[in-house]
Amino acid sequence: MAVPSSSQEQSHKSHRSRQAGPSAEKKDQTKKRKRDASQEKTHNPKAFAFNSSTKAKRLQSRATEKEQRRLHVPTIDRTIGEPAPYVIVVHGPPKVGKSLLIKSLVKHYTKHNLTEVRGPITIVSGKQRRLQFVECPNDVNGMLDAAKYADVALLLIDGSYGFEMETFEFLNILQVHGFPKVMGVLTHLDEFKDVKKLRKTKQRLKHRFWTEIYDGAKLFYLSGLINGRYAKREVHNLARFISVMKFHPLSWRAAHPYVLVDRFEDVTPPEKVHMDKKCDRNIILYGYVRGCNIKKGTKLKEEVEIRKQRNIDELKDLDELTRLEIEGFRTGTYLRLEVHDVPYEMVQNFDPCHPVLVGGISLGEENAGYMQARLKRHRWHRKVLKTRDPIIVSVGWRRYQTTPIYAIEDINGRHRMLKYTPEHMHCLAMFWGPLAPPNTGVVAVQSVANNQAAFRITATAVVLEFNHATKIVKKIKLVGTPCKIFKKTALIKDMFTSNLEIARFEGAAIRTVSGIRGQVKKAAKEELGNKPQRKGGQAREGIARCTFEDRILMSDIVFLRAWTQVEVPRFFNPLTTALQPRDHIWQGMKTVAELRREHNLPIPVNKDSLYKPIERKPRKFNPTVIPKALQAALPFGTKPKDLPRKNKKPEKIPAVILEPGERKARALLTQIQLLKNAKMKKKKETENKKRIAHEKVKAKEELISKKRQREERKGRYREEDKAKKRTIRRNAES
Amino acid sequence: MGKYMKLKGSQHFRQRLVLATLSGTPILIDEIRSDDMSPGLRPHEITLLRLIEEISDDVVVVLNETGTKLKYKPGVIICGKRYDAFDCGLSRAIGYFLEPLVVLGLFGKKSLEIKLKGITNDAMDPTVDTFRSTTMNIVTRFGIDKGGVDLKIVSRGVPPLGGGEVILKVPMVESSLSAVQWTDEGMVKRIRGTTFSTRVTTQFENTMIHAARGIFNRLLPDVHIFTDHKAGDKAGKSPGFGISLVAETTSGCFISTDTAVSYARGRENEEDEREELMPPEEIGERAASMLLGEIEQGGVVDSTHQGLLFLLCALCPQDVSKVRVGKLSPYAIETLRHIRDFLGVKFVITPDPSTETVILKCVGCGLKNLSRKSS
Repeated sequence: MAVPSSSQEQSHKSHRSRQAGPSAEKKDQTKKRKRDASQEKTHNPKAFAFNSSTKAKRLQSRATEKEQRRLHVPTIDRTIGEPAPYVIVVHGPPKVGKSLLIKSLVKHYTKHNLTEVRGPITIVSGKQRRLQFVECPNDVNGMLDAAKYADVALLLIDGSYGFEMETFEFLNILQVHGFPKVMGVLTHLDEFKDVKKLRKTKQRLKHRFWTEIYDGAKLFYLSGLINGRYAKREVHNLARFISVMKFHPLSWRAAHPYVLVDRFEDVTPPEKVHMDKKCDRNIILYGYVRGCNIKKGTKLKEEVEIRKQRNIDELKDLDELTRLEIEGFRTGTYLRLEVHDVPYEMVQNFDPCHPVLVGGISLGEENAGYMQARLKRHRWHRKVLKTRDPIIVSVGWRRYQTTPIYAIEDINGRHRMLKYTPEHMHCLAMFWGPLAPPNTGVVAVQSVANNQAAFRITATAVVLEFNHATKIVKKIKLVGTPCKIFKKTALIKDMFTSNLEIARFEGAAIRTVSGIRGQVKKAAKEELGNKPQRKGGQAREGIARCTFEDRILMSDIVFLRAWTQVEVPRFFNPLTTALQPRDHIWQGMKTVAELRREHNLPIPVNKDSLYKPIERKPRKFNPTVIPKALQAALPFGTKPKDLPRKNKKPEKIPAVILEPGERKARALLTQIQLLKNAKMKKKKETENKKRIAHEKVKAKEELISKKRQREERKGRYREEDKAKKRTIRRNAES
Repeated sequence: MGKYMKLKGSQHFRQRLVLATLSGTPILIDEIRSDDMSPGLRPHEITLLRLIEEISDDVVVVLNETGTKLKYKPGVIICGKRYDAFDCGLSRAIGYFLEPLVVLGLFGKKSLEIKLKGITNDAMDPTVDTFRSTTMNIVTRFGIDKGGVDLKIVSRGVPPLGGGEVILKVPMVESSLSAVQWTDEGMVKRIRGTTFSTRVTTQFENTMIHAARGIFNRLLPDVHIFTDHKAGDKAGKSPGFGISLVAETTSGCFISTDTAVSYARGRENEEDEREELMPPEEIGERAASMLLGEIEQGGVVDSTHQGLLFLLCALCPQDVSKVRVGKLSPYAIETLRHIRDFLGVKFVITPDPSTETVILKCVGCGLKNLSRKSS
């Protein structure tokens, strides 16, 4: 047989399906059944037709909206070749089974038992995929770091207990740092004895999880332990879920290279260490390049914390030198970074459970400047935030303490300083620090201490722009009092301290409390009220001549409202948690309140700022006095009349002394009057009695007559009824 | 803060400033014409520094007494609308300032609108006509919307006294430029041009056009050269004339040359012994043959725009840009070196012997417009 040349494809005989016989019949039958089934299942088309045009319209718009929401701006995935292992961060509150899950997954993939989880574990999970498992440390620092390098976050939740704050905190951090894939895993479900209760709990937790992420987010259930391990089948399923996951490039990471260090070596010459234990060390870091390609000589940030000069060496990939020069190190390359002059504490206090993250930064991001961020205090954080109180922010790769100034934009574009963050509202925060590009997420915490029970994330923000100058202003009110008043001009003292200051404010608008508006003119000349006490003494400075729209009073207070620039403190303090033992609490700048508490200092109170009950005495005004000459000249209509006379007592009525005859006549008249009155009284009384008696009788008679009438009516009705019935009966009979 | 990058000499001052500003690298230039008869920075270099200071915020410029040492710390590029005209001086033409301005303007906080005063046309720098016809088209290749970059010529001015005025508008890029694959230069399909004359008779223009057309008409029919005679206030303060020619190819490349004639600088007082100006016929012929020379060299841009092209390629996101140019000019070579130093972008240069051109490839540095405010 002639064998064709090896380059040609060998042609195989194709499969011939059975045309007759039992297997062909069987196939026919199954086909038929399938067809029938598909026909049966079709819906009645009439049942789903639209009856209302409004509803149809609404449904259509909803469908389009859903379609639009599904669409995304296409992002270019610039990674070429084999991708770096995907980092799977396992996060959860303590005692929820994080290590056990990693151990189970490693066992599933490699058939090896893992006794202890220390640092990242890289495994090959398939032909195209490698995975790196990292257990998220249970402190704020660890969570902040983990959120920055996680490709998938497995959130372990104790089903028997419910959600804990750590989970929500971590979700918030993830959201700010680009939101990688998240999958919830419920554990400790074997503690439910009641199936119904278990089902209810699962559903409740699932819905709570959905509100936090999106409806339909995957929540995985690990029913319980078998021989101290998760059930094999469930781990297998979880592994499948992980293996089919798709990853979208996150914008920050797609633009910035990073290396999650999975190997750490100290290569300082031993004699140097022997001589001085605290000498600066040389270390080598190993890890895969992720994000985008690293350029040789790219400035790298060392887990955010060490600002020492570094040299970067490369070992791998020496071939294709030109490609390397042009492109840099491709993602997925295993890189060896040699870092010189690292503080010895880094080596001494290295903890593999807190892996080092080396992040690359792009042009212009190494400079420090003012950043403006749109910030919102987290609604679960208990306290409001105070301007200039230090907070720890996590921006990009970095983590540092800074003192922000909060502000809000007024309608006219002015940035007005706020003393405290507003409730349920965004505000602007201006702070100093290494620059981050606009649209970078920021998460803020007050301190990295672990002992706080409440929600630790204080605020989330997004960088809007950066600037080399700040334009935040606050209101300033200059208060003065008049010291001399002319017609509409007044000299105002205590508002300014010097004539130079007045010159600065010439033309400024001022106002009295009662609302009289005015303007600052110039510093007052040596005039009345502004004369030196003695000859040769200095005239008092800072008295301004002002004009008003009306004459002001000496009791008036004059205000000048102006705006003054607020300086944002040029302070930032990188977190050096890697340089100290992990159980130590990193102590940065303290807030004023903390210092006061420590030193037992009272809060200073400005007496003038206290609110006091306002006492306003009614003002007394003197009556208008019209001079006599003027009064005389006035026409009668406008002349003051009926004025109450001052100091005029009522005159005494003179006593009347009667003559004897008159007295007698008057006495007689009085007596007659008395008699007449008594008579009338008596008559009235008798008449009254009579009337009452008569009314009584009348009432009795009325009662009787009413009774009688009722009886009569009754009889009559009865008769009528009887007659009616009789006629009906008769009619019926006839 | 970053360390100062140490540089030496007076060469390529423009590129150094532009790249330092874009990359945010502070620079320290030493030995600026320290052995020269007149040491230190030239007036136009000072003007350029002023201009950069004008459009950006928080720039630190420290010069020593003789002007031989410069410390430059870039700030944030602000741009925005400028209502006051900026005087570019008389030592160099406005074309000298337009190239850095258009690159910086793309990466500003707001879009740029600036009025520039000075010399619009001279023999040394690219003229404003060339900017309108060619440079703007090159910039729009990189994802800038057409009509965004605009240059309006209010009045013309030639050396020695200038008096021209232009209004430049540059939009800011939303986030970054877009990479180009630009290797097909195509065939020349039409030639356009503009002549101008200030304070001389308009007949000169017709003569120039006639001379230039005499060369082109033998090669292709579609030649149209416009005239732009300025009179009165719009003609500036000195007499002069010139021509700017641009060849448009079938693939949309623009190749241009320009030249102008006027009295030399610093001689305006010696009225009687003025040197004779070059006759307009010669100018027209020379411009036409220069254009033919540029076309012969090949490439998608002419030799004066190579530097700008490479700079824009290097500022692209991390995608591969591929361009074809003719013989690399010394200015372009030096630009490539500076791009490597400041942005860390290296170009792969492959000569194409069949067409005697060079193909350059690079992966952009991924510069984003950081100063733009996000809403």
